[in-house]
Amino acid sequence: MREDVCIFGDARSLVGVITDPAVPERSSRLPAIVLLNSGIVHRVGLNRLHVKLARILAATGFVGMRFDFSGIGDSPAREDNVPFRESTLHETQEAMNRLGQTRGIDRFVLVGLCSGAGIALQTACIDPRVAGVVAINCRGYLSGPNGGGNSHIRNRALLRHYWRIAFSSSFRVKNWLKAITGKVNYRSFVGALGSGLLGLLSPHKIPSTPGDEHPFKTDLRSLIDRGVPVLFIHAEGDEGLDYVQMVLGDDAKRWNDSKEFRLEIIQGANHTFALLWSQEKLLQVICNWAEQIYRTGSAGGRSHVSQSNV
Amino acid sequence: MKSIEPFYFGASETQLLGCYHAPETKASRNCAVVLCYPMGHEYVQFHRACRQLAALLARGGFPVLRFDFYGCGDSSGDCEDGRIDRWLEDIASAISETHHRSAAAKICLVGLRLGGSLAAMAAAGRADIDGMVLWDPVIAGKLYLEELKHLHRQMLQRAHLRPSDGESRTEIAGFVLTDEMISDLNDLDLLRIERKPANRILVVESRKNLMQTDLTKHLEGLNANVMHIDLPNPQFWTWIEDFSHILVPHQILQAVMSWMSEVYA
Repeated sequence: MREDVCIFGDARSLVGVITDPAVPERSSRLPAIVLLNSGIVHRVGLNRLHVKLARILAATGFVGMRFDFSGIGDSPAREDNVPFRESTLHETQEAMNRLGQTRGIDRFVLVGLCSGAGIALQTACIDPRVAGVVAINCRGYLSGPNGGGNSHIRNRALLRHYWRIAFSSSFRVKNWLKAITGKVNYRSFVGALGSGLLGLLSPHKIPSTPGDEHPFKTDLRSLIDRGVPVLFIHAEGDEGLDYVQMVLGDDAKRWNDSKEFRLEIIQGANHTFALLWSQEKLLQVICNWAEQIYRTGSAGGRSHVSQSNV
Repeated sequence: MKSIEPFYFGASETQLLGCYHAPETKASRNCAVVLCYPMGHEYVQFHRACRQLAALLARGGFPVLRFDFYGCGDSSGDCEDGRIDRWLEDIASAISETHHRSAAAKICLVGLRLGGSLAAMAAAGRADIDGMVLWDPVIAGKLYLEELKHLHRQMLQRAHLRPSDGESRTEIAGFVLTDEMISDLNDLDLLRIERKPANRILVVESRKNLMQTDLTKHLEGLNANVMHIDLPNPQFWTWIEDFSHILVPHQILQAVMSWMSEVYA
């Protein structure tokens, strides 16, 4: 495994690190893995996860690249007026261009956690070179360009989230103990509950008919139709899981039978995968998926909604 | 803002990632800065602040090198490979690299938390470090370990997560803490430094009860010219899940810049 740092992009201002396998597998036509920032955390990733993932995948033959969007980590802020949401899509494409120019690769798998997951899905929709997406704890569309219009959906998802955390999650006992012993921020809890009830009472429905459905679902449908495999990974404690399940509804079950869709839930993990076992589980799920999809060319079974335990 | 120059340095198997900020004024100061990051979750939390501090110093005419220690960030090695002796060698390599890249005759080490402790220990072992900024340095490793364990308990209590019954490793907020590192930290005591690490030292304290006053007195006893400033920011020192809520402590960055500008006018 070898790592090189580079500066790339139209303005030659984006900073990235490319991880190459010790022995390049030029004949295998494996896609390169591009790791996107999670919020304002720089390219190393939460708990150094991006570094670990890039190195593990390099050991199995995948080229990897982690880089910083403008204004994050080591990449300076842009000097134009392009909104962040647009510039991130363009800069992800610039990362793919760089790998194309220097490594001759023309297929890519985009990996993102939280906001990075949303950017990965949106870039995949506009760039045919994207051959796969790993969307971890995807919440990006909650605060997207239609964020205001999403508020009732977000509120309902939050209510569903709190209900699940309180009554069916693997840490429900711990949470009830916290509530009983006064270790809960009651003010924010009541506020969230109120918002959730407002969402439930909202006259707006979750749009579900083709042509009128939520942009998140439309984007996902377009990727599935294009044959782009998408792996959703959600920590049990993450509210994005409730959002994704609510917006996708019954279609998620239908898509389960396709090679292009898989939803994996890691039981007992939180949004940032703060425990070592959960990080290792996350890396294992991604590596297994990448091997199945790109090395053997199969998703390895029909049911792709699975739950992983500690 | 000028772009930075990222590069790897050192032997290829143990290469370290550095980011060099060239001075942005015509008249460069005669002092270059080597910035030493904190470790573990604090590295992720304070990377943005360290980058902004480096950019601020470069705008003020200082050449700055910030770098990832072995087993940290983009540098070689796994988290489990980190040892204090190795990190002290990394600081020596970073100082050599800074001399190579800048024309400045003097070196000032700036370190945050454990990075500050390492900077002080590295400098006490040599006589060529002119200035030093210690931002909430870890003074007693034993106390630091207690703080880390407390923070981890705080995280377990607050976050929606479930520890594994079979976990045998010691972990702190997402990072492993090996027995070797625990042993290294147990031995860490900045009050045992016997030589002044630098001629001029700024101690920045953003949280009370970190023994900073004891350290200031100890360094003064070693004939260092020490300035101690108190800029409380207690919210930095609690566990936080959503990193988008982390603020950059501009007041501290400005204080460091003011001190550096005055000392190296």
